[in-house]
Amino acid sequence: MNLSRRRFVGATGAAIAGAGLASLPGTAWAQPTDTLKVAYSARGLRTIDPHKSIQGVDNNAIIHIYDKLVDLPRWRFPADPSDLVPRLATDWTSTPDSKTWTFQLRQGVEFHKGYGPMTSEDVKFTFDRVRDAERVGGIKPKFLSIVNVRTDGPHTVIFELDKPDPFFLLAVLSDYDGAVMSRKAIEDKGEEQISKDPIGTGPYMVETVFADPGQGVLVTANPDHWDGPPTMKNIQFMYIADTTARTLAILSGEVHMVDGVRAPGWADSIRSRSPELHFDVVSPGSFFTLHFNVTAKPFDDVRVRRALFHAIDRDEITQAIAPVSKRTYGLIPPSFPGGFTAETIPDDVAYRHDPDKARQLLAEAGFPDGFTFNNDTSQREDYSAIMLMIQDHLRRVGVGMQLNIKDHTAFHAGQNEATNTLSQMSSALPPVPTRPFRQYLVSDAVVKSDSKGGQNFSRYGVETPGIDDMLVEAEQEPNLEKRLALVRKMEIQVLRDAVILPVSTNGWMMVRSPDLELGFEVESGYVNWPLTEARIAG
Amino acid sequence: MSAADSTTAPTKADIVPPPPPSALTTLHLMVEGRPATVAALAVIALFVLLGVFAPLIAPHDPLTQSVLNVNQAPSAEHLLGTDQFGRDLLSRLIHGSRNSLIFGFVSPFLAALIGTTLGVTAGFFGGFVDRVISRIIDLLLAFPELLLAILIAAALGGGFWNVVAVLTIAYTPGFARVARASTLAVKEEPYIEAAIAIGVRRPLMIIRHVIPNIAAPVVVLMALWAGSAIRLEASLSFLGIGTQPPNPSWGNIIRDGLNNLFGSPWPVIGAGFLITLVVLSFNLIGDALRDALDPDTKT
Repeated sequence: MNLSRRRFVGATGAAIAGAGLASLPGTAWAQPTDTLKVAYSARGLRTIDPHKSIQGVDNNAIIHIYDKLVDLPRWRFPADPSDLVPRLATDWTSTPDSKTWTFQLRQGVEFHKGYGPMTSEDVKFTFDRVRDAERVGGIKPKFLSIVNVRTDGPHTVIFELDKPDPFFLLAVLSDYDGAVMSRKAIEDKGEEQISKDPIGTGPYMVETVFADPGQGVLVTANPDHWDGPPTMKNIQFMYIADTTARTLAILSGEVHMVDGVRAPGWADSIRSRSPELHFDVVSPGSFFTLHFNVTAKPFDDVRVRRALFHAIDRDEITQAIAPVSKRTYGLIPPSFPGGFTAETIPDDVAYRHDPDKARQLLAEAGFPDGFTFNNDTSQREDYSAIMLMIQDHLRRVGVGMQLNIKDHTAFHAGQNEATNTLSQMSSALPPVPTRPFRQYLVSDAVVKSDSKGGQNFSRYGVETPGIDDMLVEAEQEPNLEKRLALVRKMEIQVLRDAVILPVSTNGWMMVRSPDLELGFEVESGYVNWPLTEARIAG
Repeated sequence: MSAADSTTAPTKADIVPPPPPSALTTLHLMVEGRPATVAALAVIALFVLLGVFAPLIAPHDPLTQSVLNVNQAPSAEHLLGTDQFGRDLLSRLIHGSRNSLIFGFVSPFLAALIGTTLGVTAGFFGGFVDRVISRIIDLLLAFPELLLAILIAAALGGGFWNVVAVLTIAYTPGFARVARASTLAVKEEPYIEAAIAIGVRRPLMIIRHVIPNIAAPVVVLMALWAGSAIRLEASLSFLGIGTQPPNPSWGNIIRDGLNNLFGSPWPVIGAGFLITLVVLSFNLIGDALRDALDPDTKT
């Protein structure tokens, strides 16, 4: 056979191209494996210490290595704190004023790798540590309400609080940082070592922390877990920061689950490529809020603020970032206690999308032709996508917002130095009704140019009366219903003053291979849920 | 036969510099037997027209978003499809060409102006002036253009004039270096000596005798760096410190497109293709211009 060089090259090329095409559509999810691989959007693992964690995705490893005293029902925020699930605590009671909480601990729980039984001493040690700024480097505000932790025998712990808190279990103990640590392990290994070699009581034990940060951490099943051993033998928590690379990793079947991208069209484009993928979304997730500086011209005029509230089409924004994005009507999202819904929001503070009304309000305020202002935003996809849409909405009513898109860290640093006009926050706050008001609206949390102020970017309550007195009244109210009524009153006043525009909540989204079953439905709750019942079919 | 043998006084031909070739002659030399240059000139001319008449040519407003039309594939309504905000990609590319070409022309021109002034001053006067200017130029040359541009852009922030300033500062040292070297060579020419001898004042000497004779390499450099400036602007916009959204530039179209590669690959393909095409064209024109103006270096 006479094979010329050209024909040989041509035939080989065609064969390679054919093989390549043939291998494209079939995604190889059904690899038999005993290791579940999950990839998160970060450069690498920072720490596995629950009290020092500064990177949300690291908490996924933490909740599998450690147990909490109580946990969310799988997987949603409970409508009532009494729906919380007992974990290391089996039973609890509080005094009628909700200021003293007593917990009975589960007996016979052992720490990993021979570190002995879990007792009330460990719980006291844990919650003393979390309030020790020297050891954990900065105390989270939510733990400040704990005044004292006492033990009463090896299986009873008593928490004393500085003010009544009917939400104590949910607001303080149910997240990843309520993890119970081993006193003996920390004293043996030291503060440094425990962050890479943690000892918990959880369903998984640390096997390897990889030197390559992208490889993350491998955990292996704890056969002696009090709740029975988990289904999967191993889980590897990996890190792939680049969105395109992470998308390819789930499409190719290299990993079983990745976190999604909160940008317009992303979910649809992935679904069109691979319709069988599952999307788990926790709502509410992060609350996206737009904080108007009420002391800066022209936003010191409430008509201008109301005009912008009417100009911004929040339904369009949530529609664009479907399925993760949901509308909010007040600072408290609809699914949280005290939150207004589309049905319950009073008409005069609903601010329905109405460009004509916006133009009319602007004309009344002396801006018939609109105006132009500068504003900063972050390059992170959820911030920049929402602000680019808002920029377009404002353009339609003649308001020019010149966006300066900054690096995410630089954006927050600048905003904390009081340099932004319409500040933006995207925070996952717990279902505690008074929390957003305490954080964003009291006068002593006003933002300061030396960055030592708080997050009252609106300067609300500084020159005009704010909600300071109402908030104190609400926080002192032990009765839940009465407290919620006070919170709604604050909510309406803040909306009427058009101080903070509640835009949307952007749920945390995980994309999951069709072969991976979680064992429960994800509805709401914290952004890290247990994979202990996860099963890879096939 | 050689000039050294001659004992006569310099002839007029020696002391009067050769007249620079006219623009028409240069153009003729550039395109003669070089179809690639003709194509390159046509491409640039086309993009200049696109840039100038962008609002008339673009089928849609490049900024108008449409949530219902995100990530559409090319169709009759949107010839290149839409991006993740439902904006018409073709219109954004056309308006983006305006931004890119403005940077491509304005920055090298300003850099040439400033750089030549510095270079000629240093070369002509020498001594202390030369040492000060040259060391500053050396300092700037020590940084790669992109790094220098990122440093300045990070300090100044984005925005049109900031990017122009960044690119101008990044390219000035190159022009200054070339202008200085050429001036040093020209300074030794007999016609300069003659001008000194007959007492021509120095500013006049620089304008009448030096600048016209060092113009060729500077012009060639301008043409070559127009492409480079477009590429640098695209890099800065890609990094988020160049043209700021929602204004389109080829660089930020690629940046947005890369994050949305699975939604629609067309922004990356379209803008990438245009950058390649225009930068290549400028380089071809620069090469041809060099060959026409400076036949000695023809390769």
